[in-house]
Amino acid sequence: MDIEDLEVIDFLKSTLPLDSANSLQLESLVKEIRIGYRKRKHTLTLKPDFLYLVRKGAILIEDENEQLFSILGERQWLGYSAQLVLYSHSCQEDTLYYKIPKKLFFELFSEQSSVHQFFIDAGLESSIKVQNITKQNSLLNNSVLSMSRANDAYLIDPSTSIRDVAMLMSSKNVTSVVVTQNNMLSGIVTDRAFCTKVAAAGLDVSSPVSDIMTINPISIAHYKSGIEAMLLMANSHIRHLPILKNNQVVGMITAADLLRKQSHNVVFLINEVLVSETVKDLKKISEQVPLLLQHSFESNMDEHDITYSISSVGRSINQQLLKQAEGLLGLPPVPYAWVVAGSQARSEQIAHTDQDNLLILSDDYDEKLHGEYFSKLTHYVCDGLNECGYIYCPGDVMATNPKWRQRVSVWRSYFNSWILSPDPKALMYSSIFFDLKCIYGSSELLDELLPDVLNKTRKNTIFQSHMAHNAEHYVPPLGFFRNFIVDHHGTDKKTLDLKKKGVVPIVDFARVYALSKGIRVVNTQDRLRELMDIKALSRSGSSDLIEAYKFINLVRIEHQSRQIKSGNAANNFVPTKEISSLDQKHLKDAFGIVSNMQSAMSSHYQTSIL
Amino acid sequence: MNKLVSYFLPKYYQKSLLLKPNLSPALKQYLLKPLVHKKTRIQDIEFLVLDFETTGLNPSKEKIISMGYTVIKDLHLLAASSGHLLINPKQSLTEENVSIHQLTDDDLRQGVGLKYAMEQLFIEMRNRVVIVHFDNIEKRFINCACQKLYQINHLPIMIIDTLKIENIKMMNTQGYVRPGSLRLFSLRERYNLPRYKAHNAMQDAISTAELFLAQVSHMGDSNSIELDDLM
Repeated sequence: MDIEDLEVIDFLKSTLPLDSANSLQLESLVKEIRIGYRKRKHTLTLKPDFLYLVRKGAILIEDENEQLFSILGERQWLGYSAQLVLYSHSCQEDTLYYKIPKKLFFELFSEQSSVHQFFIDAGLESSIKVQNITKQNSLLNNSVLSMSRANDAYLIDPSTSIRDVAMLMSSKNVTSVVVTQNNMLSGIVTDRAFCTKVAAAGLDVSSPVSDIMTINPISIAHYKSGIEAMLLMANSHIRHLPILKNNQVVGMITAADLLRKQSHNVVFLINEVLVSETVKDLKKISEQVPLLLQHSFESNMDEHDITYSISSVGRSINQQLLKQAEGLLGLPPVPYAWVVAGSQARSEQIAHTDQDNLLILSDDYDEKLHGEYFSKLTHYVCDGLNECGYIYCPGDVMATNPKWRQRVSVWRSYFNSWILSPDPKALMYSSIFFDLKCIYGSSELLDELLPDVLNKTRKNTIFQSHMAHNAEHYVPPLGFFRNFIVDHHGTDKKTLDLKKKGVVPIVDFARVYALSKGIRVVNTQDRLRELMDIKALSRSGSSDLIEAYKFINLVRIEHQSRQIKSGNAANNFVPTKEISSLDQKHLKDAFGIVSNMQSAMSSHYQTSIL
Repeated sequence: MNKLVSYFLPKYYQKSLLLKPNLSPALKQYLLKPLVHKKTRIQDIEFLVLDFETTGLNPSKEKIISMGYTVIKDLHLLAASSGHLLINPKQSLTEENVSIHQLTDDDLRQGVGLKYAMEQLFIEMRNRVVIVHFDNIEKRFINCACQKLYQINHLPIMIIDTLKIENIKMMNTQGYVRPGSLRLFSLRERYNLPRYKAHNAMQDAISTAELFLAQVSHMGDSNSIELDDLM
């Protein structure tokens, strides 16, 4: 028993960007970690030579004008950017943190460009945030009264019956009402009270509402800013604040009102996810995802950051559903890994997609003893995802399907048969099941499986040829004379399907090469970078392909962002008339690169003999 | 008698021990350093956080089977200083032991002898204050081992008990202590510390160390806390 058994290692392994670190690196890293703890509301003074990682708790960052800059939670890093070191960091909750010498950290990962890229991106993102902070704060600097929805605090008398209050709340579609006496605030009733005080205690609904109201609730003055309301809510664990002016109730501000104003902030969204207790809460947050896409695009975020943010929200919703399920069902009887597949695993989502997920169970799993637990767990989570807009997988690749809820040894045999006899069905699965990421539970179950699988894909050239053949299925929409081959979609006669004919060919290409070289990372750009590092692809070839991928995806994001802004559902069919002539030229270049790389792949893997 | 001397005249007692025969070099080195003074500020102290796993509660009959430890310096836990020793008890384990610690006979046969482990402990303890959660086990087993190996009945040692710290705090603030609420697991939850799955001496030492850091942080300004305040 040694250092590699420590929980710290598991934690680091599942923290970005260390998911790409090898075990030797992790061990060296662990040896340099210092663990510290700060009490809630105390400040944390960052030392410039250290990186900080939040292990548990939350840290609030404010700029020199005491304006809220960001809230960081578990697994988030501090101290990488010189600018931010000067900001004030205070603990929003009791916080356990890890402190790592910067010099050692970056020396240890000097070979891994992805680790550096992670912090460069994070640094850039924070400098973008700094530029946008005036814009953001103008929203949050507005008074709470101006932000509350239609100033609609419903005022009721303490003698009103519980039933009447419930009817009022449901007809007006509000989550709280204010109880007043002689125009003075005397209490608040939230929808939660109906659950905890009425339903659970079996209270008579004809009793007066004063029986269930919270007496002398916390309130806020009308001129206070949104930031102050947000902090007050966070500190007192409440979600509703009556707004007072001259001691009279003039409105109500809710966490949801603030959320709407902050919907473009991914940190804020994820923090909201983490405190959600029901599927309904998560659904509300999930509805903000299209807005997040639009705002991220409009604030000139990098394509990689946008898809990463959107995917992170999806991932945390999924994780929170699992936490909720475990809360309801109790701790799992045997270890399991919740694994997502496809674009969610690759962190390449730009919108809600259908869900692809599976469960890897420890070999201690016994259907008779544990089957019911996992059936309930997976149904809770998959139904919840569906509610949140990540609709059921049409091909039923979901953990609710007993076929995809199996012990490690069964998964091993699945992979073996797919690799050894790559029939059409197996190849269809491979585009899903070879892009995996464990996002919850015992990730070592997936770790146990993958090295062996990758070793087999690396050695089996027949499998590789079949994969390559399959990857030729979608080709860029470029004709012989460099004109676009357009599709009809709806009323638009000339559209380009930038997903199937732009993004998918590159994703498939990267997968074929990554599997045949036994590379474990799944993000398309990461795959291409690693292939470049091991010289499986030429430097110019792979960086051209990354640029082409980013460009095509950005045109697609721009299109969707425009659709969202005009209130339409987003899709992947971009009318050519929407694309500027300069962008059309770039797009043709990008497609050209993809075509060339595809033909190189065909000859390399000899797909013509199949 | 020894106990009284050690309590009232600690320095004299410590010197008298140095005259004993059969002291090992590590033990001698340990005894040469005076105990940390009670008026020292805790941020200037190095702590050794300790956890033993034993085959039972009675030190004269039962054995220590593993020791885990870690170090706190500048009020930060130094992960690099964590360590773990398996000790060969030279007797087979009962089934109950195995199910608690998940250490099997085969694991322990690879372990070191008790004497080697104690030597290692003296090296780690030198010039440090020891922290444990519930000192009943560690203190008594250390003393028993010292008696057996070096004929020392009462080893001078400065121990802080995170359980006692919490016990005093609860009595002061709420006037009673709910049963079970002082267990390491429950206390960690109260201080918003993460839940760990693994259960071995080193991980438990780290868990105790984190709890100690949390307790200290909740006491206020660490500049003004002295060792005495924790005893």
